[in-house]
Amino acid sequence: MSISPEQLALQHIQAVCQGHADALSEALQDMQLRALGADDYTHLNKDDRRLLDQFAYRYTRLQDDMGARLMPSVLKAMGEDIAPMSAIDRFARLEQLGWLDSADNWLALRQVRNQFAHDYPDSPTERFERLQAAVQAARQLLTIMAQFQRKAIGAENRVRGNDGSHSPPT
Amino acid sequence: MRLTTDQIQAIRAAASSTFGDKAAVWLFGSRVDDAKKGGDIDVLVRPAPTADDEPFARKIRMLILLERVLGARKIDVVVEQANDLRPIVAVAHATGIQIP
Repeated sequence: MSISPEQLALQHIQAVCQGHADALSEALQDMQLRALGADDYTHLNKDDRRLLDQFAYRYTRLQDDMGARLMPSVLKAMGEDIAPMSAIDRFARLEQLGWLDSADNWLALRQVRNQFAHDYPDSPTERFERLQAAVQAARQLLTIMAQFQRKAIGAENRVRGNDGSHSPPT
Repeated sequence: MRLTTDQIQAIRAAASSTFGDKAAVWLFGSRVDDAKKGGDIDVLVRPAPTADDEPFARKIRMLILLERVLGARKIDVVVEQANDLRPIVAVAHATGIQIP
Protein backbone atom coordinates (compact mmCIF):
# COMPACT_ATOMS: atom_id res chain seq x y z
CA MET A 1 0.00 0.00 0.00
CA SER A 2 1.50 3.34 -1.01
CA ILE A 3 0.10 6.53 0.40
CA SER A 4 0.39 9.75 -1.56
CA PRO A 5 2.33 12.66 -0.05
CA GLU A 6 -0.95 14.59 0.11
CA GLN A 7 -2.53 11.78 2.15
CA LEU A 8 0.46 11.71 4.50
CA ALA A 9 0.31 15.47 5.00
CA LEU A 10 -3.40 15.16 5.73
CA GLN A 11 -2.86 12.40 8.28
CA HIS A 12 -0.20 14.47 10.04
CA ILE A 13 -2.35 17.59 10.36
CA GLN A 14 -5.36 15.47 11.37
CA ALA A 15 -3.35 14.15 14.31
CA VAL A 16 -2.22 17.67 15.28
CA CYS A 17 -5.80 18.98 15.20
CA GLN A 18 -7.10 15.97 17.13
CA GLY A 19 -4.55 16.73 19.86
CA HIS A 20 -5.95 20.26 20.17
CA ALA A 21 -9.51 18.91 20.08
CA ASP A 22 -8.82 16.45 22.92
CA ALA A 23 -7.26 19.16 25.11
CA LEU A 24 -10.11 21.56 24.28
CA SER A 25 -12.68 18.93 25.30
CA GLU A 26 -10.91 18.49 28.63
CA ALA A 27 -10.87 22.24 29.23
CA LEU A 28 -14.59 22.46 28.40
CA GLN A 29 -15.39 19.67 30.84
CA ASP A 30 -13.40 21.35 33.60
CA MET A 31 -15.09 24.69 32.90
CA GLN A 32 -18.49 23.01 33.15
CA LEU A 33 -17.50 21.66 36.56
CA ARG A 34 -16.35 25.10 37.71
CA ALA A 35 -19.55 26.77 36.41
CA LEU A 36 -18.03 30.25 36.49
CA GLY A 37 -20.52 33.09 36.77
CA ALA A 38 -20.21 36.70 35.64
CA ASP A 39 -18.99 37.74 39.10
CA ASP A 40 -16.24 35.08 39.28
CA TYR A 41 -15.01 36.36 35.96
CA THR A 42 -14.20 39.81 37.31
CA HIS A 43 -11.78 38.39 39.92
CA LEU A 44 -10.47 35.03 38.79
CA ASN A 45 -8.35 32.85 41.02
CA LYS A 46 -5.13 31.36 39.71
CA ASP A 47 -6.58 27.97 38.75
CA ASP A 48 -9.53 29.49 36.90
CA ARG A 49 -7.31 31.88 35.02
CA ARG A 50 -5.08 28.99 33.94
CA LEU A 51 -8.11 27.01 32.86
CA LEU A 52 -9.44 29.88 30.76
CA ASP A 53 -5.99 30.42 29.25
CA GLN A 54 -5.83 26.73 28.35
CA PHE A 55 -9.29 26.94 26.82
CA ALA A 56 -8.46 30.06 24.80
CA TYR A 57 -5.14 28.61 23.62
CA ARG A 58 -6.57 25.30 22.42
CA TYR A 59 -9.62 26.94 20.86
CA THR A 60 -7.37 29.34 18.96
CA ARG A 61 -4.96 26.61 17.86
CA LEU A 62 -7.72 24.25 16.74
CA GLN A 63 -9.47 27.01 14.81
CA ASP A 64 -6.23 28.19 13.19
CA ASP A 65 -4.85 24.76 12.34
CA MET A 66 -8.17 23.57 10.92
CA GLY A 67 -8.61 26.67 8.77
CA ALA A 68 -5.04 27.18 7.63
CA ARG A 69 -3.74 23.58 7.49
CA LEU A 70 -6.38 20.84 7.77
CA MET A 71 -8.83 22.35 5.28
CA PRO A 72 -6.21 23.04 2.59
CA SER A 73 -4.82 19.50 3.13
CA VAL A 74 -8.25 17.96 2.67
CA LEU A 75 -8.76 19.85 -0.58
CA LYS A 76 -5.28 18.94 -1.86
CA ALA A 77 -5.78 15.27 -0.98
CA MET A 78 -8.96 15.40 -3.06
CA GLY A 79 -6.99 16.75 -6.01
CA GLU A 80 -8.31 20.31 -5.79
CA ASP A 81 -6.11 23.16 -7.05
CA ILE A 82 -6.19 25.43 -4.02
CA ALA A 83 -3.48 27.90 -5.12
CA PRO A 84 -5.88 30.43 -6.67
CA MET A 85 -8.44 30.09 -3.83
CA SER A 86 -8.81 32.66 -1.06
CA ALA A 87 -9.54 31.34 2.43
CA ILE A 88 -13.22 32.17 1.94
CA ASP A 89 -13.20 30.30 -1.40
CA ARG A 90 -11.79 27.23 0.35
CA PHE A 91 -14.51 27.26 2.99
CA ALA A 92 -17.16 27.61 0.27
CA ARG A 93 -15.64 24.70 -1.70
CA LEU A 94 -15.64 22.49 1.42
CA GLU A 95 -19.30 23.35 1.92
CA GLN A 96 -20.01 22.31 -1.70
CA LEU A 97 -18.16 19.04 -1.13
CA GLY A 98 -20.16 18.34 2.02
CA TRP A 99 -17.33 18.66 4.55
CA LEU A 100 -18.60 21.90 6.11
CA ASP A 101 -22.29 22.32 6.85
CA SER A 102 -21.99 26.09 6.52
CA ALA A 103 -19.08 28.22 5.32
CA ASP A 104 -20.84 31.24 6.86
CA ASN A 105 -20.87 29.56 10.24
CA TRP A 106 -17.16 28.88 9.93
CA LEU A 107 -16.58 32.60 9.34
CA ALA A 108 -18.53 33.36 12.52
CA LEU A 109 -16.41 30.86 14.51
CA ARG A 110 -13.32 32.53 13.08
CA GLN A 111 -14.50 35.95 14.22
CA VAL A 112 -15.09 34.61 17.73
CA ARG A 113 -11.52 33.28 17.65
CA ASN A 114 -10.19 36.65 16.53
CA GLN A 115 -11.69 38.27 19.59
CA PHE A 116 -9.27 36.30 21.77
CA ALA A 117 -6.51 38.28 20.10
CA HIS A 118 -8.31 41.56 20.62
CA ASP A 119 -6.06 44.51 21.34
CA TYR A 120 -8.35 46.32 23.76
CA PRO A 121 -9.79 45.07 27.03
CA ASP A 122 -13.51 44.43 26.75
CA SER A 123 -16.02 45.67 29.29
CA PRO A 124 -16.89 43.08 31.99
CA THR A 125 -20.36 42.52 30.45
CA GLU A 126 -18.87 41.87 27.07
CA ARG A 127 -16.07 39.72 28.44
CA PHE A 128 -18.51 37.34 30.08
CA GLU A 129 -20.70 37.25 26.98
CA ARG A 130 -17.59 36.52 24.92
CA LEU A 131 -16.70 33.58 27.15
CA GLN A 132 -20.19 32.11 26.84
CA ALA A 133 -20.14 32.59 23.06
CA ALA A 134 -16.68 31.00 22.93
CA VAL A 135 -17.89 27.93 24.83
CA GLN A 136 -20.72 27.49 22.30
CA ALA A 137 -18.29 28.09 19.45
CA ALA A 138 -15.81 25.56 20.88
CA ARG A 139 -18.52 22.89 20.98
CA GLN A 140 -19.36 23.60 17.35
CA LEU A 141 -15.68 23.47 16.46
CA LEU A 142 -15.37 20.02 18.07
CA THR A 143 -18.43 18.83 16.14
CA ILE A 144 -16.91 20.04 12.87
CA MET A 145 -13.59 18.38 13.74
CA ALA A 146 -15.38 15.05 14.43
CA GLN A 147 -17.17 15.39 11.09
CA PHE A 148 -13.86 15.97 9.30
CA GLN A 149 -12.39 12.87 10.92
CA ARG A 150 -15.35 10.76 9.78
CA LYS A 151 -15.23 12.17 6.26
CA ALA A 152 -11.45 11.69 6.05
CA ILE A 153 -11.76 8.01 6.94
CA GLY A 154 -14.51 7.62 4.34
CA ALA A 155 -12.47 9.39 1.65
CA GLU A 156 -9.38 7.29 2.40
CA ASN A 157 -11.37 4.07 2.15
CA ARG A 158 -12.73 5.18 -1.22
CA VAL A 159 -9.24 5.95 -2.48
CA ARG A 160 -8.01 2.53 -1.38
CA GLY A 161 -11.07 0.66 -2.57
CA ASN A 162 -12.07 2.20 -5.88
CA ASP A 163 -9.26 4.20 -7.33
CA GLY A 164 -6.56 1.87 -8.65
CA SER A 165 -4.19 4.71 -9.47
CA HIS A 166 -3.43 5.21 -5.76
CA SER A 167 -2.80 1.52 -5.00
CA PRO A 168 0.09 -0.35 -6.57
CA PRO A 169 -0.63 -3.90 -7.76
CA THR A 170 0.02 -6.41 -5.01
CA MET B 1 -8.20 59.73 7.03
CA ARG B 2 -6.73 56.83 5.06
CA LEU B 3 -9.92 54.99 4.21
CA THR B 4 -12.00 55.36 1.05
CA THR B 5 -15.49 56.80 1.17
CA ASP B 6 -16.84 53.36 0.29
CA GLN B 7 -14.95 51.74 3.16
CA ILE B 8 -16.20 54.37 5.60
CA GLN B 9 -19.76 53.93 4.39
CA ALA B 10 -19.43 50.13 4.73
CA ILE B 11 -18.35 50.56 8.36
CA ARG B 12 -21.25 52.93 9.06
CA ALA B 13 -23.76 50.59 7.38
CA ALA B 14 -22.48 47.53 9.29
CA ALA B 15 -22.70 49.43 12.59
CA SER B 16 -26.24 50.63 11.83
CA SER B 17 -27.50 47.17 10.95
CA THR B 18 -26.05 45.54 14.08
CA PHE B 19 -26.10 48.32 16.72
CA GLY B 20 -29.08 50.30 15.42
CA ASP B 21 -29.51 53.31 13.09
CA LYS B 22 -28.97 55.61 16.06
CA ALA B 23 -25.63 54.04 16.95
CA ALA B 24 -22.74 56.52 17.08
CA VAL B 25 -19.53 55.49 15.30
CA TRP B 26 -15.98 56.81 15.53
CA LEU B 27 -12.87 55.79 13.62
CA PHE B 28 -9.66 56.15 15.58
CA GLY B 29 -6.07 54.89 15.69
CA SER B 30 -3.53 54.89 12.88
CA ARG B 31 -6.11 54.99 10.08
CA VAL B 32 -7.17 58.53 10.96
CA ASP B 33 -3.54 59.66 10.91
CA ASP B 34 -2.65 60.69 7.33
CA ALA B 35 1.07 60.54 8.13
CA LYS B 36 1.04 56.79 8.87
CA LYS B 37 0.79 53.77 6.58
CA GLY B 38 -1.28 50.58 6.69
CA GLY B 39 -2.46 49.60 10.12
CA ASP B 40 -5.56 48.13 11.69
CA ILE B 41 -8.95 49.75 11.41
CA ASP B 42 -10.09 50.80 14.87
CA VAL B 43 -13.77 51.52 15.41
CA LEU B 44 -15.64 52.71 18.48
CA VAL B 45 -19.39 52.07 18.53
CA ARG B 46 -21.85 53.51 21.01
CA PRO B 47 -24.95 51.32 20.54
CA ALA B 48 -28.38 52.84 19.99
CA PRO B 49 -30.39 52.72 23.25
CA THR B 50 -32.57 50.03 21.67
CA ALA B 51 -29.57 47.85 20.82
CA ASP B 52 -27.38 47.92 23.92
CA ASP B 53 -27.84 44.24 24.86
CA GLU B 54 -25.54 41.38 23.75
CA PRO B 55 -22.62 43.61 22.76
CA PHE B 56 -20.41 40.66 21.85
CA ALA B 57 -22.93 38.92 19.59
CA ARG B 58 -23.62 42.22 17.81
CA LYS B 59 -19.92 42.86 17.40
CA ILE B 60 -19.39 39.44 15.80
CA ARG B 61 -22.26 40.12 13.36
CA MET B 62 -20.78 43.51 12.49
CA LEU B 63 -17.33 41.99 11.87
CA ILE B 64 -18.79 39.28 9.62
CA LEU B 65 -20.57 41.94 7.56
CA LEU B 66 -17.34 43.93 7.29
CA GLU B 67 -15.28 40.89 6.31
CA ARG B 68 -17.58 40.39 3.31
CA VAL B 69 -17.15 43.97 2.14
CA LEU B 70 -13.59 44.82 3.17
CA GLY B 71 -12.00 41.36 3.04
CA ALA B 72 -10.04 39.69 5.84
CA ARG B 73 -8.26 42.71 7.24
CA LYS B 74 -7.73 43.39 10.90
CA ILE B 75 -10.58 45.42 12.34
CA ASP B 76 -10.96 46.13 16.04
CA VAL B 77 -14.37 47.16 17.27
CA VAL B 78 -14.72 48.63 20.75
CA VAL B 79 -18.29 48.73 22.05
CA GLU B 80 -18.93 51.57 24.48
CA GLN B 81 -21.00 50.74 27.55
CA ALA B 82 -22.97 53.10 29.77
CA ASN B 83 -20.56 54.98 32.08
CA ASP B 84 -17.62 53.37 30.34
CA LEU B 85 -14.39 54.32 32.11
CA ARG B 86 -11.96 52.37 29.94
CA PRO B 87 -9.00 54.50 28.77
CA ILE B 88 -9.41 53.26 25.20
CA VAL B 89 -12.91 54.75 25.06
CA ALA B 90 -11.61 58.14 26.21
CA VAL B 91 -8.78 57.95 23.65
CA ALA B 92 -11.22 57.09 20.86
CA HIS B 93 -13.44 60.05 21.73
CA ALA B 94 -10.48 62.44 22.05
CA THR B 95 -8.65 61.44 18.87
CA GLY B 96 -11.29 59.78 16.68
CA ILE B 97 -13.38 61.07 13.82
CA GLN B 98 -17.12 60.52 14.11
CA ILE B 99 -18.89 59.02 11.08
CA PRO B 100 -22.35 60.58 10.83
